[in-house]
Amino acid sequence: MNILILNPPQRDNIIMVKEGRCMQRKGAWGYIMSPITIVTMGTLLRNNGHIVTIKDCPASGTSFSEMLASIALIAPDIVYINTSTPTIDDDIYAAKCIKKQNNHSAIIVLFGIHPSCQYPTLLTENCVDFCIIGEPEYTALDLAASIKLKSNLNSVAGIAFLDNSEKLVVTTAREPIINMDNLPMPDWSFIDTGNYRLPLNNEKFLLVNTNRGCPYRCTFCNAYVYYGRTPRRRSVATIIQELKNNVELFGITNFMFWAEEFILDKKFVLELCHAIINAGLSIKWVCNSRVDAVDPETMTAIRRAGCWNIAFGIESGNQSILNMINKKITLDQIRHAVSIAKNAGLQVTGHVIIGFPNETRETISNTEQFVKSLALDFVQYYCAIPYPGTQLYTDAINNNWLTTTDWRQFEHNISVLNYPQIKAKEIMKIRRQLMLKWYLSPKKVINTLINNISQPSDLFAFISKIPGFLRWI
Amino acid sequence: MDLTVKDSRINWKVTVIVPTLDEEETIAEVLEQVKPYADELIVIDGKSEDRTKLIANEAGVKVVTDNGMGKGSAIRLGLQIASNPIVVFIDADGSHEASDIPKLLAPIRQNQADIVIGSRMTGGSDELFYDAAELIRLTGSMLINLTINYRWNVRLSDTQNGYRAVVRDAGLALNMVENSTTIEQEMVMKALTCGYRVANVPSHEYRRKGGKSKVIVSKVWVKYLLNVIRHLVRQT
Ligand SMILES: Nc1nc2c(ncn2[C@@H]2O[C@H](COP(=O)(O)OP(=O)(O)OP(=O)(O)O)[C@@H](O)[C@H]2O)c(=O)[nH]1
Ligand code: SF4
Ligand SMILES: [Mg+2]
Repeated sequence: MNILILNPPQRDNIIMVKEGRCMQRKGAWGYIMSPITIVTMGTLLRNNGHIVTIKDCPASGTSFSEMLASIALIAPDIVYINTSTPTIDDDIYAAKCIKKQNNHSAIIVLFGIHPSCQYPTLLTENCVDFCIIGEPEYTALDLAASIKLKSNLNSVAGIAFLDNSEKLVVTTAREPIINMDNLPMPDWSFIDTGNYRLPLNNEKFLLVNTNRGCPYRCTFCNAYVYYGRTPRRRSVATIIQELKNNVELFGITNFMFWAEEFILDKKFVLELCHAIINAGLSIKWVCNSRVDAVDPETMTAIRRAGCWNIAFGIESGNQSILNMINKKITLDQIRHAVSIAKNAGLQVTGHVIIGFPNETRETISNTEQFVKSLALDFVQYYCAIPYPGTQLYTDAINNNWLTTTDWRQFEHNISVLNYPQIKAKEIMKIRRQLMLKWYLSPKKVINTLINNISQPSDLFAFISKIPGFLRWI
Repeated sequence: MDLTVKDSRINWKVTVIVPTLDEEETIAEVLEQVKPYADELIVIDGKSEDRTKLIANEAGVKVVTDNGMGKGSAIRLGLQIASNPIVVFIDADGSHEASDIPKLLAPIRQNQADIVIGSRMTGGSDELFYDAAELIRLTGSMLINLTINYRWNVRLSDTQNGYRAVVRDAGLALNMVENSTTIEQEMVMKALTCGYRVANVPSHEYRRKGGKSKVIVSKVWVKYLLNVIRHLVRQT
């Protein structure tokens, strides 16, 4: 089949990163992540005999009309569209236009966390033929095979569609990929790797998927919709091979280890670090972790293996809020984790969310004070977003907290939750103030410069990011 | 996978660590006095050549030998091998009043502090102005206190006293490296940088009840000074 995997642009030219649960504007520091899901999917389909084109329009700066023109030339049989909650309207619009111009010949398939939850509504849009529910790679492959052979679609696990009588059909759930080594290594030659660069020094960087699945049940998190709750990981050998490929074939030495939570299995992490050092790989990478998985041994190991920044989901500086969102961590654990990482020589990023249910001005102020007291290098404050698939979404509907049903508003800088005790507007205002306060503190600015700028060109790259950063804020 | 949140601090148990180096004259009495306050008691010995280890063994106390690099290595090892969430350090020379231990523990158990140091300034010390060396030592440590208070915006009256209670995980998180008694101030400065709460409670300091001092001011003051400067310029 002639297949197109598409990341459509936004009509208003905002750049959104859509990578599983990560659905946000081009990062605060102005970087776009390399689209690992669509490239892995593309590699898998191509390895199975399909003709595959990948278009990551936001990253390549491809406009809507340019996109349509090139799709007219490709004339794909199937278009897989990568979607997210805040971009879904534009994603659907792209689907509509493609359907129309290609004489309704292209089959449109949506994937992402949003369609995994919202397929009943999305399928009523007559431009959407299928929604993939959950982990997309093998479902996309099976679906393409089934379309090609005109076999029974009901036998493709993990999809939803309307049958000939417009009745909703949801096939059996797709089992998570148990042996993740079966997934091919993403062939980055599908895309222009020059479009994906680190924020501070402007060097190229790639995502490397290490593990999937998280057993926790935080009320604001939609990750399980995609990858389920059973942690699965690739073998150390496979990851090392992929890192080597990326270094040797693409000349890229900066990586982001992509996982819901990188450190769920300490033994695996230690083995991987050991293998990176043994392989003589001179790479720099960043990762994330829950704070309760952090210990001095692991932090020292990742530092030695080239990790320079670790990101923690701190979420809140108020214990009862942490308990309420079911994060299963304590303020003590957060402080220990940040301190251990910091004292192991890592830079530490904290992700903080305000505007959870029960949040008051006081709990937000607790969070501000707590975050200030941590030895963090970077902080990102977000508004709590009730993404479909989360407990927070269900609670928001049941309690009538939603201020809007406009999906475009479901992004981290915006609050769509009005509570009796605090309103969405105020949450947004405080978030912005907190960001500004943090990054405009002279000490932070100087430290960031000292820690990240090693040559004049870095400084230039850094300065060029400032307007984007201010817009993001 | 452990999905439970740790229990509250009120129930936290205590490991008491007694670092020793040739303290045969006083160790028995110190262990005797400390026992009632300790859920776990460990002597960490820096290769004593006298009967210290023997006496501790006879008292039924666990004895572990450190790498012999100084009191700092004993403190670091103590944090690592302690099996309780609070670790109390007390000298083996009889300088400290064991019955002060509850005072050291209270702020930690009430979640008001992560490190609590016995303060000789508010609790009094037999050694204040005892001789010239003591005067110099006191002045030096006062200056260090002032510097720390200014840099981290705190009000501590004693940052040097080895008599202290520490939240074990906090102590371990600091990744301390000092081998000598400079570890006391390293602990305070790193803890403050990480946002841990450091507090003082009054505790009386007795003159060493026997044996010899291991700290010779004229030899160590440069080390102390350099150590403070290093932490002052360190990035947060
Ligand atoms: N394990 C170990 N313990 C030590 C070492 N040096 C000192 N100590 C112990 O640490 C505690 C404090 O040492 P002291 O010599 O009393 O130091 P100080 O209290 O500052 O000085 P004075 O009481 O005035 O002599 C005592 O219990 C010593 O036995 C060492 O190298 N290794
Ligand atoms: S720990 Fe919570 S926030 Fe992190 S991936 Fe798991 S469920 Fe989501
Ligand atoms: Mg003494």
